[in-house]
Amino acid sequence: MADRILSDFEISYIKQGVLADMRSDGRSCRDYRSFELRSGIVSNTSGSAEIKLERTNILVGVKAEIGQPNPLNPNKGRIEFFVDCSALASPKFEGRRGEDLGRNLAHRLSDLYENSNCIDLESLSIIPGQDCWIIYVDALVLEYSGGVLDCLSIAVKGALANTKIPKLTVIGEGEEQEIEISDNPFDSTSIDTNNVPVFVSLSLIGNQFIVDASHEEEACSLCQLSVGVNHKGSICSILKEGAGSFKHRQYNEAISLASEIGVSVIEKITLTNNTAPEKML
Amino acid sequence: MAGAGSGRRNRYLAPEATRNPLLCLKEKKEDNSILRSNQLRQDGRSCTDIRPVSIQSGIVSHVTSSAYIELGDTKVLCSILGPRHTQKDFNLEGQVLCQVKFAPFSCHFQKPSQQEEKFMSSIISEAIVGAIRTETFPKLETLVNIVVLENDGSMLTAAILCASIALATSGIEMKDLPTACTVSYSDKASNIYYDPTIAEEYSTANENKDVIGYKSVVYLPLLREISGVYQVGVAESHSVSSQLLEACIEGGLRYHERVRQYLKDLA
Repeated sequence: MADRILSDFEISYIKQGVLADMRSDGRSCRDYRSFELRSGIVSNTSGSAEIKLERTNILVGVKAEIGQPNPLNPNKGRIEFFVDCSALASPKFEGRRGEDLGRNLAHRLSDLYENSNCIDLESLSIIPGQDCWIIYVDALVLEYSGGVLDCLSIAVKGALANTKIPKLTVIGEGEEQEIEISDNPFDSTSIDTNNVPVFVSLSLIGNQFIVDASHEEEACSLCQLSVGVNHKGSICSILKEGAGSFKHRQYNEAISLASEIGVSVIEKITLTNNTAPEKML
Repeated sequence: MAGAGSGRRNRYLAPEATRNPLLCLKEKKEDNSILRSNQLRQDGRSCTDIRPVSIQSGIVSHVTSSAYIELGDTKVLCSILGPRHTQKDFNLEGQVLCQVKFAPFSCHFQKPSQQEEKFMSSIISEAIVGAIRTETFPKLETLVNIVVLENDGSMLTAAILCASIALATSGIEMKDLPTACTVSYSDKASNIYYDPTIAEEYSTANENKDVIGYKSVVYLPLLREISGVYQVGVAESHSVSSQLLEACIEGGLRYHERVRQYLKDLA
C-alpha cells in the first residue's frame, strides 16, 4: 500500500524512533491515534458513518434492500461490501488503479463478516429461499493516508450500528406469501453490532510491530499483520501482508497487543454511538 | 432493484443462474460430525495425522520448472516461468509474481470468484518471496503459476509446497524452502485437525458446527521465521491463536521433511 517514497535518512529516523519507543509524532509503539467517528450523516441511506483519522477520511453508507438469498444459505440474509478508491483520494488511484485496492479491501471485510458470525444473518431472512434483506455497505475513501483497513472497519461498524431496517410482516401461507411494509417510517429494527470485529493493523518496522502506522511508517514497514478483533478480544481473522517474515515470539506479542488495542477501539466506537445525537429524518 | 447482478456490476456477483442439484436436497446428511466414536476422523486419520503426500517435479516441458503435488485428494500443479524480461518499472530487486487459478471443476460447489483467486495469489506470493534471493535477478521477473485441479481442503498448504518444490528445482537461488500447514479447529481449540479435508474445513455454507475456523501458516524452517499467516474464523483469545500457530508449524515441519526427502532422492 505504500506509495510514499522516503529517503534513507527518513527511513532510519523512523526505525530508530521505533527502537526508542518514541515515534515521530510522539506516540509510543502501542499508541493508537485519536479518531473522529460521526454517524447518521447521509440522509438517503439506512445508516451511515464517517471517520477521520489524521488525514484519512472514509465515508460509509449502508442501504438495506430486498433480494434473493444465496442458494447455499437459503435462510440467511446477505451483506455485501463495496469500497471505492477514487482518484479523489490519492493521485495513485487515477484511472482504474484504485479498483484493485478497493476490491481487496471489500474482500477483506466480507471475509471478516462472513466468517466470524458477528451479525445474525438469519434475522435478515424474510421468506427462506425466496426473499431476504441484503445489506449493501458502500464505502468511499475520501482521502487516503494510511491505516485504511482499520478506519474502514471502524466506520463500517459505526454505520451498521446506525442502520435502521424497516419492519416487515409476511402475510399468507405457502406459495402466496406477500410482504407488507409498515406505513410508519420510524417503525424499524436495528442490526445487533455488538459482536462486530474491527481490524487492527500492526506494521513490522525493524524488529518490532507497531500499532496504527502513519503513512510514512507504512512506507518503510516490511510487512503487516491485520488482525480482526471483537469486543471480547477474540481474534476473528488474521492475515499477513507484505514480503517480510517474523519470529514466533514477535507474532505472539503482536497478537496479544492487537487484541488489547482492538478492545479499546471498540469501546471508543460504542461510546461514540451512544452519545451521538441521532439525526432526525 | 433486482438481485446483485443487474444494476451493480462492480459488486461481488454471488449467486449464478444455475445451481447444483444437491442444494435441492431437503435433508442434509445426518452424520456430519468430524470424529467417529473411536476418536478417529471419517477417513481413519487421527486428529494430528496428515494425508499421504505425493510429489512429482518436472512434468510440464516448456517452462523453467514445474511440480505437481497431491495431499490426499487435493491436487495442485505449479509451473515457474523466468526469470525473464519485465515490462514493469525498473527495479533492482527481482519481482516474483504469483497467479493462482482454480480449475472450473476443482470445487464441490462453486469455484471461487476471481477476486478470491487474486487474494490467494497475493497471500502466496507474499509468503514465498521472503525465501527467494530476489537480488540475484535484478530487473527481471519470475512468474509462479499455480493451478488447483482439485480442492479437497488445505489448498493453501498444497500450493505453497508445490511452489516451493518448483522453485527449488528451477535453479533460482533461495534462502529457504517455504513450508506450510493448515489446521482447522473447534471451539476453544479443544480439537485441532491437521490437514483438514474440505468437509473438515470451516465455511459458512458448511453446516458443520464442530469446526469454527481454520488457520494456515507458511513457515521458513531454516530461518525459523513465519512468512505467512491466514486465519479464518474466531479464536477465543490470543493464546488460542498462538496454540494454533504452534500446531501449524509442527505440521509444516512434517511436510518439510517429506519435501526434503523428495528433493534429496531427486538429486
